[in-house]
Amino acid sequence: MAGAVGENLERVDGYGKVTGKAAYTGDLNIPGMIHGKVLRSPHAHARVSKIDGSKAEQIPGVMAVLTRENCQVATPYIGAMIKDQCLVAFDKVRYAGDIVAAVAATDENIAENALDAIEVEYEELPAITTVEEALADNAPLIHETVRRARPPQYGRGASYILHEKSNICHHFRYERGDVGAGFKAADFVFEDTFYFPSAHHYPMESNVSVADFNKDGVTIWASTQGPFGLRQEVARVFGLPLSDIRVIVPYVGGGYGGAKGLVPSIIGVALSRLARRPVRVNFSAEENFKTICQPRAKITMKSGIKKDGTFIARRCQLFLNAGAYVNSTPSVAEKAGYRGHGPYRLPHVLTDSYAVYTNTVPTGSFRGFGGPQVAFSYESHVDMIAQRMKLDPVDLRRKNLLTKGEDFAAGDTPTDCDLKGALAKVAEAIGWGAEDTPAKPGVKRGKGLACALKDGGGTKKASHANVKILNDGSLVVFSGSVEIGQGVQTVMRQIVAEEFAVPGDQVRVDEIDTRYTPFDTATNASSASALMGSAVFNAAAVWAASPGCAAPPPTSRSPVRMAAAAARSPSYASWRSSPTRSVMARTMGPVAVGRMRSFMPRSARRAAATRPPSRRATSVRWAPTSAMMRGPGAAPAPMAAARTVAMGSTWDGAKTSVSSHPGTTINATPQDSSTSSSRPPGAGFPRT
Amino acid sequence: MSEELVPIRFYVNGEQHETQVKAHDLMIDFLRERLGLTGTKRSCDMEVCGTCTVLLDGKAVSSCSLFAFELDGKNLTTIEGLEGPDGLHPLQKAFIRCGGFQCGFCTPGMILLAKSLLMENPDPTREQVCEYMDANICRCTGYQMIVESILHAAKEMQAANR
Repeated sequence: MAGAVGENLERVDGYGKVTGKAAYTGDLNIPGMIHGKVLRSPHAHARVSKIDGSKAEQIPGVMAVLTRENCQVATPYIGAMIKDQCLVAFDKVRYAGDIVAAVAATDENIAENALDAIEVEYEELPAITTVEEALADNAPLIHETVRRARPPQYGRGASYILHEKSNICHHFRYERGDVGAGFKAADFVFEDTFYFPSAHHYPMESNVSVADFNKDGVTIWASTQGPFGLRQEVARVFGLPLSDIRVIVPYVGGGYGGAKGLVPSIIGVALSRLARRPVRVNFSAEENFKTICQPRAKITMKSGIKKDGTFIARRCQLFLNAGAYVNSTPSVAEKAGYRGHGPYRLPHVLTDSYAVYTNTVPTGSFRGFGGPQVAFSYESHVDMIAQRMKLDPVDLRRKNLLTKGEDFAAGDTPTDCDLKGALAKVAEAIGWGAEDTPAKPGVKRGKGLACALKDGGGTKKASHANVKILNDGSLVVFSGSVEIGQGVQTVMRQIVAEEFAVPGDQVRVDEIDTRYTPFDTATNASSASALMGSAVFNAAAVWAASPGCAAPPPTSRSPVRMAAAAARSPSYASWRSSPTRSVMARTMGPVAVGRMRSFMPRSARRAAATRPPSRRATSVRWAPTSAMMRGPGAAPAPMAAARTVAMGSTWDGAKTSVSSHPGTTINATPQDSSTSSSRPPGAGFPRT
Repeated sequence: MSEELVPIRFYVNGEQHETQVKAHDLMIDFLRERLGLTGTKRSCDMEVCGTCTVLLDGKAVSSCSLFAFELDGKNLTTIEGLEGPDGLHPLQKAFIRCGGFQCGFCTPGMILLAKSLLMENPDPTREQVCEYMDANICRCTGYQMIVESILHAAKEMQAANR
């Protein structure tokens, strides 16, 4: 059946993207729109002693000049996890490129030229660019006050260590067994240090947003992966209710996790409020490099090994150069630390992972959350050990790799893949052990292999979806998962088409607008298909399974149902039997349960599903009933308004990180793994 | 900055235009802001990434690094000009069919560069495609699907011409 899961459906965004018709944020031209530009600090670390934008304000065409002098906000501090970045410099600049002021003008050139007319006096301070300098005794503090988030709640073996008056902004520890005893019991101990450079992932589309602040509220069109997080930040900074802020997400020209859109949106809103005009802030490619990057890392791995190659203990020390502002780098430190010992059977582990402030470009959670940094290090370390012990690198890995079903960390979901089998296939495919014939004379080719483990992302993430059924049987999906190129719109279309047994082209996936789209945490951590997909599936399945619906009930053989079930942890057996109801009762309350009833008469539903599309609009008639009310007291919707709201399988059960077990207490001292191993896997998860 | 206006006369996607531009106006800004042809995207702004590729008299050029007045007397094709009355161009169809895009931001430039390649060489080898397309950057796909799309389109176009 066309549109079903497993079919090769044309991408929802295909036509728009190959014809140039797909609108990205930078393509929008809002009536009255003017252009914003920012002034950046030439110094890596300096106190801003004086700033005066009055000359710039006099330039014809300049509509607003934003400096600390006229930046009246509820709080100037922004940031994903730690609110450490001022929207414009208030006291100090902390990296070369830090935003000092901003200008909005009728023309980009006028705005650019006006920046030169802003007078700034700096008192330069000593700049710290490396982790070593930042951690030295008496190192100057980059942030005198660190606005820390609540202490994170970790699961077994993981802890958070607070450092006062230090450039360490986050310290995550993971521990099990006794590494000291492990090293004593080892025949060999090897230690290696690795350096991982910074990187910028260069989404082809720049950081861009258009903000319109007027007395009806704020509308922001932004290239972002987290529209709801952006709405929250704007509300907090400008002291507005969430209901006043509307974030609309056109197509996004690549994201890769780099907190895209936050800085230009906040600057844009501030400029728009001053100028009383919609303002577009579109960073240049060079400015993107100065906005956020992947943290540099210094990683030391120390391993204790038996003569036969059996790993016993590993000590990891990870230092992430977190830059001047850390965005989501604390979670990068957590993930890097948690993954630091790699996919190996190690009874004794002690990992310390630090995110450290320096006077360099801010950092964030680009692709893999620290995974690339540590995987490069632990796999290089294994190769170097193999070389020193004169062992075959494949044999050494196979001896120590976790097997399917084995715990990566007690309390977490066990390893769900066959690493040894996969490694054997890779070795075979590259002809491991056989000399390679040189491609050209004089060129010597080497072979290498590596394996890595990534715990699944998306834990503790809430995803909500609405599926709206129109009276011709076609459907609209409201889902907060951003189309960043991964094809999520098509995935959602397929899930709904499958559950309602309609062709894919009868399902529209609506543009994200936080005023109408139900809440989603963000599009990150490779989680949208599993989490939002489950929410959309539940919304569709609840409808399809309801008494008033004549659609064929989803069978247990339905691929979507099976995929959704597979994505859930075994601890969710109760969800599987009546997934939405139990979740709804928990998360939305009884009002929402009332909304779940289906409203389309059986005959109309059947007619809608079987008639060809062209006839549907005229041939299906049915009267709205009182049950079509959208909520208490609301008027009946003009069209069929069967509206199911469901919360999806909100915890990624397939692979779950220890840092995400809600309900477990913060471990000031890590628990002994022998006591924790008596608990069944997944015991830390909430059941309802 | 000179405010001197330069009269220009040119064709865009087969349509004749006659207008005046400032001497320092860039072609990309003129296309996007004056003509509303926003399918041409800006990225690096320094003739490196190929995102702003357009065809000037059939030749692939970076519109971020040309002046608008350089359009004078020329025939310009942008991504908006590829879809004809008979539907999508074979390259556009192939990019959809073979998954030659993800976020789509580099796609207009990729398709136009590929069009330029197929005009020069209607039956390229995989190596020739890779070498020619080296001029444009994509950060999502890893390029394989783009190469597949172009090879597929070349085959389709040859079959149609036979």
